[in-house]
Amino acid sequence: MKMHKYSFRVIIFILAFCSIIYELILANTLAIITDNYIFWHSITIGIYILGLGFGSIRSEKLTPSLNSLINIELSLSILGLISASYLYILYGLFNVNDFLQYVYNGFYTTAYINAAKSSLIVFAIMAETLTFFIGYYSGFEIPLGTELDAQKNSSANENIILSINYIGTLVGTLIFSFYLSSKLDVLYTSYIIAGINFLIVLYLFWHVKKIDKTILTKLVILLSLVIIIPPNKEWIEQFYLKTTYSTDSYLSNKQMSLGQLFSNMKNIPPIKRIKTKYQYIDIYKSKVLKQTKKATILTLNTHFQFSTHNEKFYHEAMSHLPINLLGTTPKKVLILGGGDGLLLRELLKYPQADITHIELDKGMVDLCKDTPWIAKLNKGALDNNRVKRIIGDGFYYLRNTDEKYDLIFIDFPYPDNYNLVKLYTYEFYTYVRRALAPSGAVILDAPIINKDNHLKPEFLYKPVLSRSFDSEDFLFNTILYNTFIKSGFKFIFPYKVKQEAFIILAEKDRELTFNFETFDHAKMPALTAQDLFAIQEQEFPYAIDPAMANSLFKPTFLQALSY
Amino acid sequence: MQKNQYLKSNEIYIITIIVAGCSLLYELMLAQTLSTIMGNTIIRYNVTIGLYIAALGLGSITYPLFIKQHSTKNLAIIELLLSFFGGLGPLAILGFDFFARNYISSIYLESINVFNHFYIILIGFLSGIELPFLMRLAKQSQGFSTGKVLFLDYIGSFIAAILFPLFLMPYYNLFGIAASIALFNTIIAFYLILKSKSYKISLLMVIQFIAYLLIIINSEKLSNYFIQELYL
Repeated sequence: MKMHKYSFRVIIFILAFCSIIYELILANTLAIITDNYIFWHSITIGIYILGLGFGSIRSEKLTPSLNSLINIELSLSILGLISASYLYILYGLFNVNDFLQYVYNGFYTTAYINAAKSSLIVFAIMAETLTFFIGYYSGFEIPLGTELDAQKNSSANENIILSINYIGTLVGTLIFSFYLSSKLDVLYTSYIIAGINFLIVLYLFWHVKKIDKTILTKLVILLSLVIIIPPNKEWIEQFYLKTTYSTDSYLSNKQMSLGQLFSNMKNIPPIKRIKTKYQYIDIYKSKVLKQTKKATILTLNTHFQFSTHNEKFYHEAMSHLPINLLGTTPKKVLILGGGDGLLLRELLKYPQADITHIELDKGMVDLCKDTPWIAKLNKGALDNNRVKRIIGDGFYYLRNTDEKYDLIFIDFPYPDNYNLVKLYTYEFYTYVRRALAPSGAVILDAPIINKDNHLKPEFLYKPVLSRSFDSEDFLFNTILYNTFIKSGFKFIFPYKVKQEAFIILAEKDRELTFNFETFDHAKMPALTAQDLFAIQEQEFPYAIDPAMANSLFKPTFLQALSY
Repeated sequence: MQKNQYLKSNEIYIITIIVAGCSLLYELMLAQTLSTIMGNTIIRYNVTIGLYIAALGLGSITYPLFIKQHSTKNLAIIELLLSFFGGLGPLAILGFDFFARNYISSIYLESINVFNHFYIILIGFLSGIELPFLMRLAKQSQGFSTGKVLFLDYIGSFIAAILFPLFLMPYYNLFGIAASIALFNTIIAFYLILKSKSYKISLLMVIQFIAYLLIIINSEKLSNYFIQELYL
């Protein structure tokens, strides 16, 4: 059976589609497992392009034939099949290595920190090597496709294959962005795309006369991987999740051997992972330092959101404390974020408050409504009819609204990717300020750092380094302060309760009441007198520098994000 | 093809890297600007890249319809157009958004979708002409490797992909970055026009060079002004 003369045009379209999706899978997976979108997305696309370049120039040495295309596409199918799984397992192994470093070097000693830094570099090199080779093999496609197409069509224009490749790339990015990344898990996506890639190989097999040894070897490798990898998707995911979150291993016997570590991990119950349109939500139990009962922890894209053992003081410190400090009664209240309903629970304790709640991720709200233990924790706040809920982007709501609020609470995740950095810009805070009633105030949970910055482990869900205020912290504070100043806030009052920092913002200068006896202590049982007194003497050093304000058009916050 | 328009191999290689880098940078800046107007950064970036790549294809395949000669002068004109539209990209997007919000608000969403995506296609289209053009110039001059030109095109893109998010975006405002890249691009256009010995157009380039230089020097002030007036 002869191949249709336009076969290669269709094939190149499909292959281009698969290639770009491999790159997007790698970039997105790395971004999520390391919790840093901008850095990994950029590095990955750069290395992919570099690979494309090397592949395209190497292709000149290859004789254009069906066999060479089959060879290339078999390699790509193998690499594509293992792509996301390889990253998950690699990261899991690095987490294990991290634990071993802790055991041998002592937790957070200089030796440990240096080992951690070099581990990260090794991880980056090993991860991006895969990206490079996927780009490399993809780089053969255009030159090979052009030659093979020309063999069938004498009047061929070499730009036709180039354009078809471009269009296949476009379709790939659109389908990935709008469909695959929101509906399917990356692991499944990688298996499906590798499958499509392999179907092309099968089609080409049908029309080839002789199969050489290399092709047979690669075929055997591919089939073995198909038997091993997709059926173990759950195991791969759990290995990555458990090594990322397994604080139990850190906190129990320090002298644990590798074997004991693995058997401990087996005994940990499976970590629950839910994928919504916007993020991965993980739920797991962990024995927190110095606590006897296990706490349940919820994370968003591996970033800590709340833990049952300490969320009460956090939400009380964010709601009742500032309300009492400001001496206001909440009338018209807006909450941005906080899809877990915990802040809402506190604000519902004010019967006269008219509350509007804006949350981007419906999946998060539904999860916290329908999961019994979370609904119990937030006391059904998400089902309360008093609250007007809007599912949407807080940024655009504020940009377009004419409403004025007395209190605006902002409970966003920590800004570790550009979508979130947007929510800490002076443009955003200008909209926030404009939505305030004349003596209104804003309360937000912010990563501001005070001078006496000794982190005490018992309040956190995992051990951290105790360290002093340094230049990076100063940079952070400077960016935050200048962003608020540029948005037009004259009153900026940060305060820290235990290890969590919050900021009160108002357009004009305010007097706060520190008369703690008059406070409504019944509403904040988790806060002690010590906590309340401590906020009067906190210092948050920063410098005035308008150029450091975080803007949509100059996201200075990215200077302060770590890798 | 006149003999005095031959470019040396080294010149073509350097020009390839630079124009490839500039083109991708214009696209990345457009993706960034669009995410400020239309929201949802991830989709914005992916759609912009995809549409840009498709427009590259369109440009590379259709340009022989209206460009008959592969001369340095024609390449210079392409670069001039690119640096003009690319450098003003963020401002144009912002300006049109302001106009649409305030004067044609009933068709706001439709009009900004058309305008913004048209702009991406325009930049992609012009950029798409560069690579095959440079490859033809390479073939015509002493017949050296077109594969090398393709490779260097990729290298230029690689540099841009790393440079923009890590070294440019967090430190300089977007309008200033666009003007700087366009300035650099204008210099390339100027160099090409000198090589082609066709001096009339060079006046336009000098004007553009000075204009972008002024924008760069005052970029912080201008940026605040544009954001205040057009965005906030």
